[in-house]
Amino acid sequence: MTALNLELRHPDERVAAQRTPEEQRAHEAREVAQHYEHNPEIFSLVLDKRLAYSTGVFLSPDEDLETAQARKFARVAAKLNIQPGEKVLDVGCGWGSLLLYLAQHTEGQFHGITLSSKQREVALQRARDWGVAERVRVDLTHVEQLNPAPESYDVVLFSGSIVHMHNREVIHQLVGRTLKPGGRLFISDCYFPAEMRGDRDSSATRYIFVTALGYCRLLSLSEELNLIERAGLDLLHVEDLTSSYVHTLGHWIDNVRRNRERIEAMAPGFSKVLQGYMTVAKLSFAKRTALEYMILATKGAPKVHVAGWPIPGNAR
Amino acid sequence: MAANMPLEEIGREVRNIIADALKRPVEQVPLTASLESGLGIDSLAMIEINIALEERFRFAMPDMASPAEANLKTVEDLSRFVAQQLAHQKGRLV
Repeated sequence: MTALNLELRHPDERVAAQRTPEEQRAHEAREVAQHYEHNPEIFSLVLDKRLAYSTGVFLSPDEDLETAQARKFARVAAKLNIQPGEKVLDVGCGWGSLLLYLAQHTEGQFHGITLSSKQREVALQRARDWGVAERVRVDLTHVEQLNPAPESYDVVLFSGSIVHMHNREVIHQLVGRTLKPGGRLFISDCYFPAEMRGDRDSSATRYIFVTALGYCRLLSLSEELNLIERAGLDLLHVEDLTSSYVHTLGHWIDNVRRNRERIEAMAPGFSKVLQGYMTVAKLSFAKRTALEYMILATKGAPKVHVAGWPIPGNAR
Repeated sequence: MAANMPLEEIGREVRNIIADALKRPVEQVPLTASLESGLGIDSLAMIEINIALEERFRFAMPDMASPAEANLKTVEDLSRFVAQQLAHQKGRLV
């Protein structure tokens, strides 16, 4: 199969495209980790209690952040239907929010990877605190470096992490090989609309993608789905969470405001970076110049039956 | 108390904050200067200025991707807007 020509949508993607895969991997490991290497205490002042650094699921704007994140965790768990003994790889597991929720609510075996040693420490400490350490392993590595054995995992997760990875075709081919038959891929992340909307070369875009978060590559949804299909998986379900991200970011920004002095005392200037990039993101999702989706795909026969998933009203 | 600050003083602070954000001497940021066409304040500069205003006056600015979105044309418009927000929010942070 010939490589898919993914559109290069902003200047830093064009720079990334000139690097070798090894150079780009080193670039991501260095630049992306910087944001997440900040004192975890700062993120605990801004995020929900499990430290989910991804959108919650809001049914109404009046809900609080904990409710929306709890709904997201429960929804992801239902989508994945993890069975006892199944092996789960969480790529970019952060401080272990989703990984540890799933470890606490299923009997699977969990392997998280992150580029941040501070995130790894927090995830492992919480695994011990919450009594799931014997089923949770967390390594400091890039997924391309990990290069897991064929058919070695039942589930691969990317929650707010695949956006940091430039070589997406390589990643999806790796996931396709790594999953066992019946395996599931889950992604929750940010996309550009397929048709140009808004200014992608703006200083605001550069601020969020480079200054704040190190490296980001937003594909269009159809490009990501295409890569998933070309890796041999079948799409089961795609859900739009764009408006939920507007509300999630609103809560995070208010938490930065409330805790500005404490954040500045730990990392001078960082409250501005957080509030700045979060405001750019909130405005982008509100205008739908950026979109947020949850994607579920399966390798072969699915382990969940999406036809039964409830939708409101008579359509049920 | 920021909520009771005279408009003149708010204007001075707003000029200082804009000058800082744009890395220009404050003399180049008069109250009459146009935010977009005169000073070239783009979406990111507006967001950075709003955050600096929030830090200085301890209140919350509404979301805006450009000054025009809030009908703000000049530095003076922004100063009056800050004064109104301060009076309305009575110094509440969020």
